Amino acid sequence: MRREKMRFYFVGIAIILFSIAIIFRLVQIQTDPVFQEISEKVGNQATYKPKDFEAVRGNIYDRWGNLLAGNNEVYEIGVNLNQITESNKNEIINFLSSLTGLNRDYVKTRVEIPYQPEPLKENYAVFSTIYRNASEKMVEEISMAQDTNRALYPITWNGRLERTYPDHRLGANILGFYSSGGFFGVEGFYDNILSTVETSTFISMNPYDVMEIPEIPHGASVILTIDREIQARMEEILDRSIKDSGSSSGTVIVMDPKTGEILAMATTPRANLNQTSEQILAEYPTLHVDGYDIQTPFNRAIMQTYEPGSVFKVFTLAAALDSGAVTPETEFLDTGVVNIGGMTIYNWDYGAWGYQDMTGCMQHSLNVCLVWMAQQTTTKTFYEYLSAFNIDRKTNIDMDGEASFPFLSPSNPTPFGSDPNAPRWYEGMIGPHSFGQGVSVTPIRMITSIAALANDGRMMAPHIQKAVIQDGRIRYYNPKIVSTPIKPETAHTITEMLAISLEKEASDALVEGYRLAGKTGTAEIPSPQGYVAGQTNASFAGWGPVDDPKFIVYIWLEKPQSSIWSSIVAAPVFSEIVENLVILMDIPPDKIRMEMASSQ
Amino acid sequence: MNKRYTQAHQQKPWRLQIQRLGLVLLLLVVLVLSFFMNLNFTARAAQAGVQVRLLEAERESLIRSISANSTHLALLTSATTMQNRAKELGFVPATRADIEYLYIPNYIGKQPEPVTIPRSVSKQENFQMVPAFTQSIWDWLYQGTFIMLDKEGQ
Repeated sequence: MRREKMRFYFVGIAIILFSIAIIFRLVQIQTDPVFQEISEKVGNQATYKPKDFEAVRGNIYDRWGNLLAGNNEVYEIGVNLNQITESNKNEIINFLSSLTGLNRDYVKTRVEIPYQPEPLKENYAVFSTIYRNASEKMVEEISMAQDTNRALYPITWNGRLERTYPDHRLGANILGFYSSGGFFGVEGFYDNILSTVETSTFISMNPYDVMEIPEIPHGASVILTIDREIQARMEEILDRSIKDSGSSSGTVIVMDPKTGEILAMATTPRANLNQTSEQILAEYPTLHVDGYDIQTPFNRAIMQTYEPGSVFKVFTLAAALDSGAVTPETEFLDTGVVNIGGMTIYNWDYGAWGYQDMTGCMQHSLNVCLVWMAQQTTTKTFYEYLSAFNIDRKTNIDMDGEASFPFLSPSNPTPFGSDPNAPRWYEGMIGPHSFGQGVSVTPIRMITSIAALANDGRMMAPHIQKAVIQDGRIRYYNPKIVSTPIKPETAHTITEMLAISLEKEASDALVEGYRLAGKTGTAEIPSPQGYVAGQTNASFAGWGPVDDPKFIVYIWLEKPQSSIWSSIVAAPVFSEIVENLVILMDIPPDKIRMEMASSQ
Repeated sequence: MNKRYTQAHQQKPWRLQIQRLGLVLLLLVVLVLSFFMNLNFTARAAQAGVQVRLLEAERESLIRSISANSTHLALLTSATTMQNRAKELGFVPATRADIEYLYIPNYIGKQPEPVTIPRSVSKQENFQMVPAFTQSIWDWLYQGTFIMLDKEGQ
């Protein structure tokens, strides 16, 4: 009996000790940092999955709500590496190679990447991307193939948004492009509001875990002042004009002078924006000119400065009239030549035009008369007026990459340094400056400053943003007055003078039924060796209707071949543009407008 | 006499046994009921959790789809496409000679297409998840007890 009891106690003690050992081991495992780390990793791999929360980039619309830049759904096709086996590998490689058109060896390399689930390891790989930017059709094909072939199950896809430009090349210079960031134009300038910060977080796969999903706000959408129809028509006219005149490039800007809104801005070249960034930039080659490498500007209207020539004379006239140095009736005896600061200046035709009033000087674009006009204004006042027109400054238009060139003036005589060989301002420079040579500006600078003449002397800030849609609200841009360089009466007088000069000249710029004001500009092109013979920049600035300007147009044709003269190559382009603008902007002829106004 | 019968009846061993068995069965029923209730709630919570995930995925997909559809619509109505369609239908660009102007009182002119204004996300940022969605029953009990004690202390 005693022996039996002993055996019983022995078994009991053994069981108790074994239980204690199990409990001890359990506690040890639970508290051991190594085991804790392992269990956490294993648990996290099964229950947590990294997830990227992609922000939706804001849209870009034209002024009428037409989408100019949006997002399209594309797919990223790949394979789950842990599901790749020797038995399904070849089938997957063959299928993906034939579906995507990718090289078989490339697909093989991507599929054979070793599976490594450890995120901290250098060769971490759980998913291998085979093809980006796949269409919905491709994904449907995979899905159909998987229905009949289980070997293709490791192939998966993820949807994402890709920037898309429905009009391809239309307004490319304005829009810029997006490639992991906005570049040039609106995409570049408004990149910080079009996009929002993307987030990446670990999402619990355990359905009991309730967690807040980060909500990424959509990027703001931007409504532009651009009118798509006007833009398309301007591009069409510009392309044809460049072809007809044999110009190397061209620019057309249409602006509302009362608000500074850009209605259209056409330049060349214009890349198809639905390409990769490399393909887009390849359309803007680097040119080798005069020993310098020059990158073709993405948007010549704001990124390229040039000597505008006679179109600049409107500022000289404005300064002279506004300061009271001359009146429209002031007479000038044109001898065809003037000497200033050691420079001999001739008229464009080397002729002497005799007695001319100021309108005549503008009508015949007489350099000698304009030099005299600037001298009458006095050097100090002349440059003060140019400064009031902001000729020496950028316009700060809301587009990326605006360029400017230092302006030599009494207040900034040595912008290139004190080197004696560096260009510097001297008294005689008032001569070429008075007719737009020796000064380098962008087309946007020119149209912005000239627009003051069409808007009662008020210069408006040029802008391309009409409104921004953000945080569930729409905020409209308020037009801003930048400066008032001249008095309203002077602006009216100049407009009238330029209208008369076009009419007297029977210019090709005229449009029947509409009174327009404008000025041609033919400028020689400077090079390190001096001005290039036989090559010019042809410009034209014009606005209308004269009594109530609704638009101002600036045209620049670079190195036209059919004729070097702006009056021959640029003036007819202005006429054609206005013919189209009055239809697209619903502007009735002057006579009908007057009748309508009187009947109201 | 009746009193004594009643006492004897109440103290009958089988009656006491039935009472104890009843108590055990009651506890068992409560336990089983609790277990099934717990199972039911847990299953529903899991189902809701899965549904939330599915709806989130669907929402993401819909956002992409809406964006893609508006872009597709814009592609179909792009300036070039519309011009080509107009040409195919025999339209030609209007010239000034084709246009007759009429005075229409109160005509406000061409109006822009209404652009969809997406809802504000800033309100969502202020959203705080209700604790009931995340706390366990024990959290709830402890929290409830502490709140109650706090109130009593006041």
